[in-house]
Amino acid sequence: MSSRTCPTLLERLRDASDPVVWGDFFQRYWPVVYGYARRRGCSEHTAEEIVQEVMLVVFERRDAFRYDPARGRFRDWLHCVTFRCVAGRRRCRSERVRARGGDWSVPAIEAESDEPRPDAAWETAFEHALLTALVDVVRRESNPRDFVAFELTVLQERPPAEAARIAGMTRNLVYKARRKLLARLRELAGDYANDGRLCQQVRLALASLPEVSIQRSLTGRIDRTMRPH
Amino acid sequence: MDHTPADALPPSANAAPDIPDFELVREIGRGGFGRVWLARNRATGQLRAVKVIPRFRTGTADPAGREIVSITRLELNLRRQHPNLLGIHHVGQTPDHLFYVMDLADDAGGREGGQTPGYQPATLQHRVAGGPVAAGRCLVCARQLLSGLASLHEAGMVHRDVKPANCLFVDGTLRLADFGLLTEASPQVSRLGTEKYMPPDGRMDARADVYAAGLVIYEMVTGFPIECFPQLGQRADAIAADPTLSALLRLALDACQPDPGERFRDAGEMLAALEKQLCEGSPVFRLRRRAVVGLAGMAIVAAAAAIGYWWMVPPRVHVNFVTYPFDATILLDGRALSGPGGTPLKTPCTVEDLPAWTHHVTFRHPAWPDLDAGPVDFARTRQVVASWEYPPAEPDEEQPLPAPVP
Repeated sequence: MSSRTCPTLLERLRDASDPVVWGDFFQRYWPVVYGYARRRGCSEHTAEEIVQEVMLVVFERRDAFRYDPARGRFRDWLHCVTFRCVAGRRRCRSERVRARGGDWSVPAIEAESDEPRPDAAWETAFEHALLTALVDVVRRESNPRDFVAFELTVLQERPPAEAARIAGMTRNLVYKARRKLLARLRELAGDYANDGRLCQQVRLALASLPEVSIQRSLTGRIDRTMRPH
Repeated sequence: MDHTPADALPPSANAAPDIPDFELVREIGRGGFGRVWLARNRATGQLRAVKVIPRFRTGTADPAGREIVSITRLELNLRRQHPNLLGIHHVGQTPDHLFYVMDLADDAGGREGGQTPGYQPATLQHRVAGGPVAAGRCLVCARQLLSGLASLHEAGMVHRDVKPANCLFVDGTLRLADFGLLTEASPQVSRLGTEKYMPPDGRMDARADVYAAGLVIYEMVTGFPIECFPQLGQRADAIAADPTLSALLRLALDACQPDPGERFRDAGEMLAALEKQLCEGSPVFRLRRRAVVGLAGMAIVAAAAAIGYWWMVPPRVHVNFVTYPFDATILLDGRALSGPGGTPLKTPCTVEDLPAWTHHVTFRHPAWPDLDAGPVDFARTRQVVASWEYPPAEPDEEQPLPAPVP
């Protein structure tokens, strides 16, 4: 499973007027940044703001992007940017004052992360984003009905009979679809988690994603942020 | 009608054009080739939506020409206005613009349509942006969308731009809008429309409209953007628990098959499939199906019993019983045969209606000891003859009794 950033993507990012490549970049990296922020103990709202902030930093420094492995990996640089954003938020949180009439059920200071090492949080977020991307590849390649059967039985661990009822298939077809798509997922994952934990890891990765409403709001906010440029 | 801003129009086009009989109040939507205005009729004061398309454009595209061709097709092919297609009340032109007057959609904010400054036309896109649509409403919208689309397909036309932004609500009823890409169904239809809603095979015929309608239904059921299709995520629980949502999802999956041959032929067939699925999932249907299955089972059991009876119960035969001397009573399996009045039958006689089984036959005569004729198979034997010596043998003659003759 490759985790290299595509050099052409980096070089194309220098063109600020290319909405397709920026959309592609955003779709690829927002789950990593968001997942990292959440693992570092940020709330959903703060994590959304961090994603926006990181995307803005990347956009402002796009002229410096060129593919040069000697200078280090892009993902490490992105990690530094994200780390600074999270740390910056943490530093200024004590200065925050809750507005009168605010929601007192939400703690003013967010809980510290359970993750002792920021590097580990970044690696985990990156791993989850890659696993989610693998599931996306399987989704795009397969017949919609087969994917629904796969999602319900493998990713959500529902009984095949229920999956068959929902997807309008026979149970035999559900078993076939599950076997076929699972084999494709394993093929894409290569040596990763060949100890039989692949499905469990994928389930964890999908569970770490925010709800669709948050994804939609994030996409809208990023779109609005980038538009003036 | 796409309400997303497009940069296809030049900045100079922002000024309100002069349209006969209508005062353009403000812009409420913008597409790639034209703008939609909230307009007030100068004579009646009635609010309408007016789409204005510039007649002269640079480049090869002639949007106004295409629009007028599409509307002409619509008017020619549809003999009467369909309740699920946006009504077009008037088409006109000025030296610079083509315009047409349409129904005004409800306000997305739920206020009185068009009267408030914050008026935004209510579209299905607004509904799905707020999350999944409730099952009942989802079903109503799906039916209305498919019904409107089916009327176009029946008239031999394809819409080519089915998407939530083009589904407007007028008085709470969904109406399919934006007929700018409407064309007659033919294999050579060009690939135009909204990229995300186009089928992978690229053929923009009625099956492409079916594909787009499937995606719209998926968006309503899940509340997810179509980039997620066919993912169910956290909506799987709600879909599994609700037969209506399950039926709609199955319909969307059938409509969005990558192979066009596996999709519904047109929206009419898709609507019929929806009604069939709902009917099969309803409690009344399930009850009726159980009753039918039960009755069928009973009929099968009854038929099996009849066949078994026919095989098991032997045919009835008649048998002659003759003894010498006569007047012996006949015992079948130890029971005396009797006539209609209950009087015992006496030889010689013919007994009707005996089962063609093997019976043990014995004759009893008052002057003689019982004569055992042994087991006799009535399926093969129609006459049982037995005799004692007549007159009864004297003890000194020692003549053996004759053996019964089967």
